Amino acid sequence: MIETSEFRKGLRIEVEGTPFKIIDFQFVKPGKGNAFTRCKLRNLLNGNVIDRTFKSGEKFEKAAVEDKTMQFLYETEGIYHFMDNTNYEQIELTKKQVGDGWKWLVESMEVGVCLYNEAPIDITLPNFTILEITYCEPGIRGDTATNVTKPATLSSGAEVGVPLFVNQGEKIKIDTRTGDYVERVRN
Amino acid sequence: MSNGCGTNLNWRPSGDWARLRQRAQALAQIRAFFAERAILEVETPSLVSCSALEAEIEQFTVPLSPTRSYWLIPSPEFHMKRLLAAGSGPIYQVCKAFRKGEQGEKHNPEFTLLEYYRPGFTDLNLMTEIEELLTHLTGSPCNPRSIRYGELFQERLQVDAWSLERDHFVALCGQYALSPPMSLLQESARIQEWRDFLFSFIIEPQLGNDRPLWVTHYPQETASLARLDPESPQLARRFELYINGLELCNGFWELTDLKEQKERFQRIKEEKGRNEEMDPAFLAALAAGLPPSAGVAVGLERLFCALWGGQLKDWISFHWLRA
Repeated sequence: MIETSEFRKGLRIEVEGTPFKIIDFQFVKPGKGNAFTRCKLRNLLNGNVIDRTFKSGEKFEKAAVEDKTMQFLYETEGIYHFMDNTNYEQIELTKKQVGDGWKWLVESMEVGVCLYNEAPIDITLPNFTILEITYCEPGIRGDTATNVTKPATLSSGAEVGVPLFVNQGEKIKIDTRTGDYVERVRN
Repeated sequence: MSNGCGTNLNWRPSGDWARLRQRAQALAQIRAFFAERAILEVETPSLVSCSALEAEIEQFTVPLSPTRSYWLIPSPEFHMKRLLAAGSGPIYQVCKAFRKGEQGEKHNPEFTLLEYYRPGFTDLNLMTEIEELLTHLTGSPCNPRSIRYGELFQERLQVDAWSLERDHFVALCGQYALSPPMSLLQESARIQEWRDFLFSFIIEPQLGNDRPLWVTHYPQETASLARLDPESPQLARRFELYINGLELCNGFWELTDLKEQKERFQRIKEEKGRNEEMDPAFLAALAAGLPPSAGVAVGLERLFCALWGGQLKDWISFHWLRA
């Protein structure tokens, strides 16, 4: 069972018999009053995003889904194609199903494809992934002392904030759960 | 990095240097304010033998031995009241408080409290002094407005907080496109759960947006350790200050009556199914005599956010995700 205090973005829970993924959540509590956790949840069956509030401390079942490792092949017209390397079977997911996950997908990357009653409904990304910076303003040397960031475009097409000393063409490690820069990776 | 394998930034503080410097300065100003008024700075334990038996606050426990656990304080209230009962006179402290499960943008499970007590003061006297403290910190007059909890529901939601019914609650949730927890729609839901929900999601975000706002005269169900209003005992002499939708402090005209305090603990034990013992040392201090006092707990990181901007994590060197 998963309690509201264990909520994190990306977690899949079952609410009234339907699998949902937590997109965002907010903890609210008057000092001496009842605590609530307000969530934005994506219905994994139809892709709709709903707003729900729970009493803090409520418990949920993990959604009854199964992750299968597959390779991302390519995307065309909003359809994402994946292949199961054990039997070469291919499956498709829509843009709505992939959600924000598109940001970190690059060709031939291995991801978990989430199956519910054997139908693909979502993807599970590794917590950390390494991507190349395809564009950013030139780096400022030695500037490691501040938390200031600049925008950088990655090989997957996503834009993230990176420290000033990072350069175009370099590879960086990203936390896919938060979209945050973690560190620069040297070859 | 000397090994040339990258620069992981998660070791770095979450806090912002300019804000951390201002924090240090504000703490010095706070101490100067109390020194000038001859209010004694004290320290009391963080790790204590009894739970605070707060209805809606969960505490961390720490094992002392395989068979015995202590509690981390959710506030230093009981021990400071023991000092008051022992004749300390006016006292304050700046300390860490710990609340389990309270983590989010406006909550860090470990946070800094300024807690202080004024024997001989009423809630109204103490509110005035807190305004003086804010003026001392910012250099400009604080000038808050004041409203009663019940009036707030009337003014903002056009409902009577005291006779709120399920139908009103459901209608308001519909009106504001809120989907409340299922348990709040059931027969067993308590009126205070509805009030807390409406307060948190509709009322609070707007509070103190144009100028600081005192909210006073809370429902008796949420009295905690405040005395009830002698004229209307369904109201507690509790007060809170809001700036920009942030709850900054909670104060009481303190309950000093031993019998009533025991009854309140007993009610929490029964209603919440809690089996902790009532802190015997705290009860003994009440029996010995707590001088009539007003007291307040101010969340300092939140206060700094409200006065000078930024988020909670900017005012904490390492917030809980980096702790």
